[in-house]
Amino acid sequence: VNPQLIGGEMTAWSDLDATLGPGPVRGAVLEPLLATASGRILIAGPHDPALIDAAPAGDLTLLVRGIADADALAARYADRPDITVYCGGLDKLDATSAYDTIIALAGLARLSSAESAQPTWGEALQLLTAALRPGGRLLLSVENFFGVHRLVALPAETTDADWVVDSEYDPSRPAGLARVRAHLTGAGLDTSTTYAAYPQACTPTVLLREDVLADGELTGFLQATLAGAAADAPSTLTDPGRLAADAVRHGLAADLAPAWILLACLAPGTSGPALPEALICTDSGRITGIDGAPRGRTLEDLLIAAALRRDLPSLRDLLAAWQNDAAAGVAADQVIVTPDGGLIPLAMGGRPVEALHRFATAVLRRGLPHPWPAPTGSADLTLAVAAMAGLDLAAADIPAGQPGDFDATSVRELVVERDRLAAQVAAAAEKAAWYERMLTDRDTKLQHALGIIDLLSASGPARAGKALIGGVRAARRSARSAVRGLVNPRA
Amino acid sequence: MSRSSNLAYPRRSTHQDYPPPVHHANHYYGHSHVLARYCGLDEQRPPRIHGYLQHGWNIGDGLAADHEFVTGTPVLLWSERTRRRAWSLGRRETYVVGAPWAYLLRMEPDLGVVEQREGTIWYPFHGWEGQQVVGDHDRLIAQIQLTEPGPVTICLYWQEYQSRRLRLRYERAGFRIVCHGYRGDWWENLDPRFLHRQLVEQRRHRRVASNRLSSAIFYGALAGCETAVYGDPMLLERENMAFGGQARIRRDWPELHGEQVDPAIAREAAVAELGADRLLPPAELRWVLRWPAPASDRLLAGAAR
Repeated sequence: VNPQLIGGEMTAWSDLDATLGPGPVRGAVLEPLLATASGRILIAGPHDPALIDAAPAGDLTLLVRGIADADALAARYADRPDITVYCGGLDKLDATSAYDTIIALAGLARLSSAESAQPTWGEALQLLTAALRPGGRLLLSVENFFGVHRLVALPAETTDADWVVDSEYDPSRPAGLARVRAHLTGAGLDTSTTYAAYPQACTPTVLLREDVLADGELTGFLQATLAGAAADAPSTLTDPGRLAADAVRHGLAADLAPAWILLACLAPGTSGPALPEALICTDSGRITGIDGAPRGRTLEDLLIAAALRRDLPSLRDLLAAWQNDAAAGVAADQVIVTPDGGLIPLAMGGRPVEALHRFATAVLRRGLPHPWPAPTGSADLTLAVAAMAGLDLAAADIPAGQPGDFDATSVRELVVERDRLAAQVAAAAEKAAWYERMLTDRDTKLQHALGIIDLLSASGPARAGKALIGGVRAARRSARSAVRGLVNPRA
Repeated sequence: MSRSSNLAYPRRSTHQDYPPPVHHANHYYGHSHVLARYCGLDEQRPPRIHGYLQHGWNIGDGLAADHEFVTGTPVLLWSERTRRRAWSLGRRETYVVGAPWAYLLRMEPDLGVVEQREGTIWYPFHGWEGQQVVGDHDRLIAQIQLTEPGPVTICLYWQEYQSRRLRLRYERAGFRIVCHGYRGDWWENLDPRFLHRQLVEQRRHRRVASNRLSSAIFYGALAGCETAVYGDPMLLERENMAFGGQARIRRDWPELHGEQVDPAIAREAAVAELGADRLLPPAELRWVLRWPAPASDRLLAGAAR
């Protein structure tokens, strides 16, 4: 009868409840991985029930540590006699169970309960591996504490889940992908497939095999994919999408992935089922493999490259090609320019002006030393970019408050925006001072001109009289200043 | 006397009480008028340019040595080379717009075109209102007579054109004397047709020559003239040698000096120095100059909304 309490269970705890910690590992992109499981299967740790549904029926064991989660799973699978729900700590798991497949996509840290001493990462792996039969397969997720998601984050808030902190200071926890694999090898596990998981360890939407990430011809596709995946990710220090795209450019996207998902086989064994080289979930569906992936660079990359080279003719050509193409409404970072110059959109399009606006915003928020002289903001720069594309827009055409507008949630972008606005204010003040001087000069000239008009518009005798009076006044002024000069020669 | 007269105006000098404001040079030679027409605006009344427009070819930052800058004001330059140099000299908000001359040529493919180009239009190096040129004009005249195969037209700067003595000297040598006009000063005495006159003159001549590599030579090359630079380059009073002066010009553009210059090379150099290969579409130029859309466009846009 489910759930079975195996010891160490936590009476008032839930990992499926995302308010207490990061919540269960989730995402449709993981479903194909679970579908390849076979034999006696253990799903250890908090997994979204939708993922559990994807595992083949037959002999399935679930291990969670909170009673609330165990109850929820037991209720959900009440009519699945093939499913066993265990509740308790990893250290209480029967080491003789000999599973054919163990799935731990929520990592190792959340397998142990508060009721027992927290094992180190290495000890937890030993405990888990002990439950694997020889030749059995382990599907494991390892969060990368030097991943893009961490590089853009402020120190994490402490949650109720942090009674012991899973950290990079654990010496048994391998830091870096190569060391993770070496550690598994040392534990008798042969890794057959490694995925870099983006944009978050707990909520991946993109899984890319290392060899895919190393393919230079796919740079544009990979950058677009990772930037797109990060679009909704929280950013605090800087835009994670930009950082991920830069990591691709530098061949570091595997090393800087927020998590790695490894498929390993306990020796002696076979390499296991073949897994696709890429799994990508977007708003418009799931992509498996990279056979259809376009080769080339992103339009945004090419536009920025031309802008930084100050190659304005190329910039105009690229912008015009984009805006005259069916991809006109697709954001530049989601358009691939193939080697023969074709444009391939990777996302749904909106209004072209929105896509232009998004590009202009990206240019400004990144603080790029762009070529455009003194744009007052992203709407203004949109006009310039549109004009270069041959479009004659008016300020009223620029959407306000559109996606891609400056939201200023991250520190780097805030500093960039602050500096830009400060420079703008300083320039405006200096210009105002210049206008002031000009105005004074024009006033003087105007007075002079009005005096002449006044003189010329009077009738004959009056004109003579005014000229005479003017002459007398001038003479008096001269006399006064001469006298002053005599009285006070230094004045 | 009519205000549109080009040459008879003495220089105004009523604004010496503070450093000169910065925008008046934008209207020199009718540059802003040409650009206004290109942008679809009233060429008689070009709007204020919110930037500093380069008004002559030079080897510095593109603007006059005494140019005052207001921070954040765009510097609008003719060529990418000049823009790079200006940036290295601390100028920011720089943008290559190309020379107004190149825009005029694009708009006026037929103006002044003759069936048979003839002779040489020769531009003796000129000073300006603030600096006179010092040099031996007689020796230059002799050299021109020796070198030029056909009839020679001498184009004098308005200031030198006003010197009867100087004019007579060139006339006695059998040269025709012209002056393209007054370049304008402080928004006054502006001459919107300056460049048009220059274009008509250049298009009737086979060669353009000067004793210094200058705007006129590049203009001529772009207008289809053969070019030549030879003769005593003369001296400018208190000439600013900060950017290397004549020696550097000869070092960097040796192929453009001499009595005979390869026209293809001259044209290539002119295209680069005048930015003729990177002229802006009208809408982009209006954005850069901060000019409004033409009235008809505004009406259309209003109707569309």
